[in-house]
Amino acid sequence: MKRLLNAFLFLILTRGVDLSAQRPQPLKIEADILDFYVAEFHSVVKTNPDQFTKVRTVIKDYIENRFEISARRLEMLQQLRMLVQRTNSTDEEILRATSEFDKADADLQANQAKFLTTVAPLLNPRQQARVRIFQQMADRRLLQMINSARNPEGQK
Amino acid sequence: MVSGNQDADAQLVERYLAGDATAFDEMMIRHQRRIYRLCYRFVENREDAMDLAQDVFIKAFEHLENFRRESSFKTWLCQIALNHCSNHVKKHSQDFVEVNEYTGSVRASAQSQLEDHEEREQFRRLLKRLPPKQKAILELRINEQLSYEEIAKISGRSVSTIKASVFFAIEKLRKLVKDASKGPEKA
Amino acid sequence: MFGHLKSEDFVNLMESSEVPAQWRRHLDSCHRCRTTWESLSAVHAEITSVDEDIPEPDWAAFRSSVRDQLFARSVQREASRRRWTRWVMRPSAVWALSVMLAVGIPTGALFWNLQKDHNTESIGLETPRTTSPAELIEAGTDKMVFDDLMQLTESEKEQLHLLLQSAQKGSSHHNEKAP
Repeated sequence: MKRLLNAFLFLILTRGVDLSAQRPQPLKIEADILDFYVAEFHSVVKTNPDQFTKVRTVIKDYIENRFEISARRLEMLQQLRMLVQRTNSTDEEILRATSEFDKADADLQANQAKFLTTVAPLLNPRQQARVRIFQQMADRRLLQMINSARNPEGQK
Repeated sequence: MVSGNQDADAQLVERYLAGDATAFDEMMIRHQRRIYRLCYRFVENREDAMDLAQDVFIKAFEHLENFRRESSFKTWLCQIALNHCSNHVKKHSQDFVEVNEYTGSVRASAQSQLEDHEEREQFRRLLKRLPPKQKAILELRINEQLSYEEIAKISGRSVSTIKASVFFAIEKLRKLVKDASKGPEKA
Repeated sequence: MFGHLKSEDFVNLMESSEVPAQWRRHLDSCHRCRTTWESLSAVHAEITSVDEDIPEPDWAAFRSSVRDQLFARSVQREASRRRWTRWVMRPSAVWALSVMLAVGIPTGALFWNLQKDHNTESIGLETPRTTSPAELIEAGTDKMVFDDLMQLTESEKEQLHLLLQSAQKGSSHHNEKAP
């Protein structure tokens, strides 16, 4: 176990440390994710062509916001971790970072609410109900694919 | 107003997230028995209860950064336990055999102490026959002394619903005791 | 009009030391409620006085097992993200230190603490059991999907791209057939 820990620490410190100070690259996969969500929406909610055209724009905004908010949230989470671990962090710094993180969480909720209220007028009640189902299903399917992508043994 | 216990839990959470290893043991010690007993009510055996309780703590520690502090840590932990155990029971519903033991045939004995002991044993066996969720709620209320508001928050139900659950659990137990007292043919 | 006592009323009665006057009057006059109340309160008294019969585990071993599993799972997660280099906002040395602090010190400290722990009960290091993928806590699902997306390596993104393309082909084929 000691050897494992030491090896692990060694790996972290020495391997692939070209972590230069660069901003994160925009996700090329964003287009794929958007297409996935749009297709899932169409499939689960069962929109007609007219609805599909209008809803696509709304979904695009929704997904782009999710990416942006998630990036911000993760950055704040990392910031919080570092501040909490540092002994010389001031209360003000920590409170500010906490507030930023909470704001990101709140923005996530607000984005969700905005999406639902924007698509509602475009859909009938049954379709509106299916939108809730779509969200659960799409997220879960995507999570499964992410897990498959991470696990090389799953690739056949 | 946050109680002293909630303050202590909140501080332990902060310490753990900050990398203080001693916080782990303190958090476990504070809540291990409660969570284990809650899990036990669902499976009625030590090994499965230990496995479930360990799963609950692992989930909690791995997701501690997501703990929103809208409720107390104890409530949050009990929520995880209740959900995890309910899912476990649903998945393994075919594996569970209702505990139907009946040994009401106490041999005639002049020793009232023996009879009392046997009656208590019988009552304990009848308690086990309650549905897992009812047992869990009774556990939280009677043994853990949680308020109905806390239990409602843990289970995601209203206070009225929880009180009704308690009523029906006791009512069912009353019927089981009554049937048991009529003899083996009624068990 | 005061009808019969409800289930919630009986529960309140069982747990309170005093019976409200209105309920007392009703219990005195209503045979049905009085019978229910008497039998329920007897059972309730029995429940609250029944001896504890739950066998307790070795708590030190229990905690050790949780600790070991947490460590094993965190090592597993880090190993799968070994080539994760894109999540950067800081200089490389500070970043490496952050990762070490965030993962290595807590897990290492837990490990050292385990070795130093000389509680009265013996500490049994159980072999970490094989765990199935952790179930998601329902409330966190949405956040975790995009959090995970943001932390994918390039090769993992490639894999995901292929999976999404494949999913798209499947769904477009399905949609063509849908009425």
